[in-house]
Amino acid sequence: MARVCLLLVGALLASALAPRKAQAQYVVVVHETNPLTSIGRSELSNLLLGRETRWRHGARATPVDLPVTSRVRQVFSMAVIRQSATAVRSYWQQQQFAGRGTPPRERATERDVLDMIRLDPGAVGYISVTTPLEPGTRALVVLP
Amino acid sequence: MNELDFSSRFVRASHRPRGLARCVALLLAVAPSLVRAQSVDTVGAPALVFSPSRYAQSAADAPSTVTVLTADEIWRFGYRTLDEVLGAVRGMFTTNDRQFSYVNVRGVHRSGDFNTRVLLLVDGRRTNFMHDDVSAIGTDALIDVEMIERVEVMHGPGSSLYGTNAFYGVINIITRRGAALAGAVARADLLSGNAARATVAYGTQRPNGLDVALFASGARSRGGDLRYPDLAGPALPDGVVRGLDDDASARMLATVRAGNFHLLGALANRHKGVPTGSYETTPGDPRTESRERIGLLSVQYERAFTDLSRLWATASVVDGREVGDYAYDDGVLTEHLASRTAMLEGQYLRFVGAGHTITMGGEYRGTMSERLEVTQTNLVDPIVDLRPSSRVLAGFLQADLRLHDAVGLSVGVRHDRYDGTLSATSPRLALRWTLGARSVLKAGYGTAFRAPNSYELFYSDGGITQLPPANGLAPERMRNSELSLEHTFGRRLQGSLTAYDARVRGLIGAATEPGSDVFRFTNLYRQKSRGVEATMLARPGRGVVLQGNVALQQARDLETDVVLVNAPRAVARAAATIPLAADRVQLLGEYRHLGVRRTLDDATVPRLHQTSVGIRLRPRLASGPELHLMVWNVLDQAQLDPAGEEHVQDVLARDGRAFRAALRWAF
Repeated sequence: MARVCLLLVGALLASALAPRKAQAQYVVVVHETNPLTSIGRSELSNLLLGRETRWRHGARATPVDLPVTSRVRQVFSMAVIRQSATAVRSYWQQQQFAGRGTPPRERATERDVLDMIRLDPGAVGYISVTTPLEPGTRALVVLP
Repeated sequence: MNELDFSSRFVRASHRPRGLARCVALLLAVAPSLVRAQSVDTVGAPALVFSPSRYAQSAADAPSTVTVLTADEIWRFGYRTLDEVLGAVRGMFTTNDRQFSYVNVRGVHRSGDFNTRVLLLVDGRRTNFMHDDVSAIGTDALIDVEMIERVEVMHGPGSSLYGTNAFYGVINIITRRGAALAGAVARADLLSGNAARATVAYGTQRPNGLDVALFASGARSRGGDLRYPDLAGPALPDGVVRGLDDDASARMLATVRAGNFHLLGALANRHKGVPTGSYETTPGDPRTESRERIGLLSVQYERAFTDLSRLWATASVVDGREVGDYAYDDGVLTEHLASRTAMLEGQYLRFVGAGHTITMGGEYRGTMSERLEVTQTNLVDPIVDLRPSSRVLAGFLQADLRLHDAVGLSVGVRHDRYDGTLSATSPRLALRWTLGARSVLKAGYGTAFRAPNSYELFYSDGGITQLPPANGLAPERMRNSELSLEHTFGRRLQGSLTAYDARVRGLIGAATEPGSDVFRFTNLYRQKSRGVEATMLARPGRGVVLQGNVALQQARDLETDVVLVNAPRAVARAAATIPLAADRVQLLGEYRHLGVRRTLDDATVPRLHQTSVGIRLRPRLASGPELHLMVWNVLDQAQLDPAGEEHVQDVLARDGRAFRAALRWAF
């Protein structure tokens, strides 16, 4: 047992001491016809987690995610959902197994995310602040 | 009935010192797994598995290797019972002595072991009986194959999460949901051997999330005549047993998912004739028969909190009853073993930091009633009349640590305490390394235990043939090391390679008292097993699916260094699905192979080749009628299995060529 404990402590230490990458900034993006100009953090979190399926104005919400390995997703996840991207993935695995829903669709690149939002008035996603918006999309302010 | 009859009847939960082996164990497993989280040796398997960590996760992230068989595979290859499903899993095969079915895992199945060293779960709930650890996988199983959504088989020890019985593996049956049924389904099977079965099911999922699934099934087989020259004698002059292989069973299952609650109720009853003259009963006597009943009632509450942590609380009752009538010249001996067990389980999952997961939980199991009774028709008082009780309290903790994007470490431990005296601690350590986008390497070390059950601890006939253990019994222990590599070769081919080494000590067996025939259970045997298992799944195109697995293994007794009985060096399976007419017709073929096996009398049974073919016809893909025709043992080859200690015969023959026509209609 002592060895197991040592290994556990060692693993936690290794994880804690691992170098952190620079924080990437994100911007939340919606379809240009979306009437909202801002959204609360918890409200957005609920949309991403499937706890709410419609926007405040009644339209069906279609969240879209980047891959779990995306740095932008990791930062967005910690900032908005207050959990790591892998925790959110695990959450969706539990939900799927329990038959309570399926995770948001994933798009491989930020360009793909913007393409999806451009075509879906209910879509919501996030991209890096350094990625330019496309026609038909606009940013949504996230309130704390 | 003489004393010999009596004693041989009661060595039930295994273990006669027949110079057999002792325990199992050591290993190295290399199993390829697929990064995209599909189980490698299955087709269309779900990406998620539950059993390795007691929560849903991708197969690639799981600390153990898992084989998943889906409802579609079970239907396609015509598996009739759970044991036939398990026979398709790498490293496993099953035998049947016309009373019970037995699973052999990685070359290990001790004569008299009624599947006590595997844990059988239904939707995550334990179903092994508490009084004797038995798990039913044949026609006495709790769940009909038509009720199964998929079967997960976790390879290797699972005691760090599940406790006793999770020794060589954990089998988790996931039942079909109402959403999957989406209406009514009726199925009728006609089989050779005067056998038939029928199932009806209904399921629905409402917009408010209410999900209901209801099943009922029945099966009946009259069986054929069986030739047993070893039984020839005054009671059976020609050695042919007629009409005693009958089998009748009925099952029900109901599941309801409403909000955070999941209710499950299941009940199975079986009546089986015993044609083999086991336990030296009078050959050909129709009074020898067995009756089994198992019921499970369970309610689970599951809740996800705002921080995504999750809580499960489960309360279950398992009711098991095994009654055997054994006819002798001087009367019928009836053994009645039963228990009703209450189980309370709680589990909490929490996410910590950047991708770490902690899951912890506790479990209480206690018998509400237990009965070990033996009576004989010409005796007034029972020969055995025991009402023992058992309780166990356990806690477990598992940390799944993300050391790096590609590296994960899983550390878990569970402590079980039985009735405040006997205890066991079971750690598990597993490292996962994702190599690029196509490979996952897993290395694991784990221990497992099986605690002695009431039958082994208390069963006694007062010294006529059996006494309780002199100094109690310790849990059986095993250590297992495993290394696996899963790899995907492009889009059409996936494979896995696993190596394992397992050592077992303290296996419980029956030892006779010096100078007498009286025996006691004691921690007797040590065994080791090691091997390499490979799986392959290919989709060469046009919808064709080829599957295969092969296990090269060795299981030996550590005291005598002799290969265990019924332990083939090679176990293999190959299967093909060939679609025609836009998948409205499927041609199916399966081949299973077992290497040479040793018998209890130190003879050998030859290699076993089993070939089955089938055709599936479905005019409409989504619903409507489906016809499935199947032929087993196409070449009508003689197929033998080593018999257990309770038989006079050293080998028992399997059925010859058999046919089935099944019609399933989804409304």
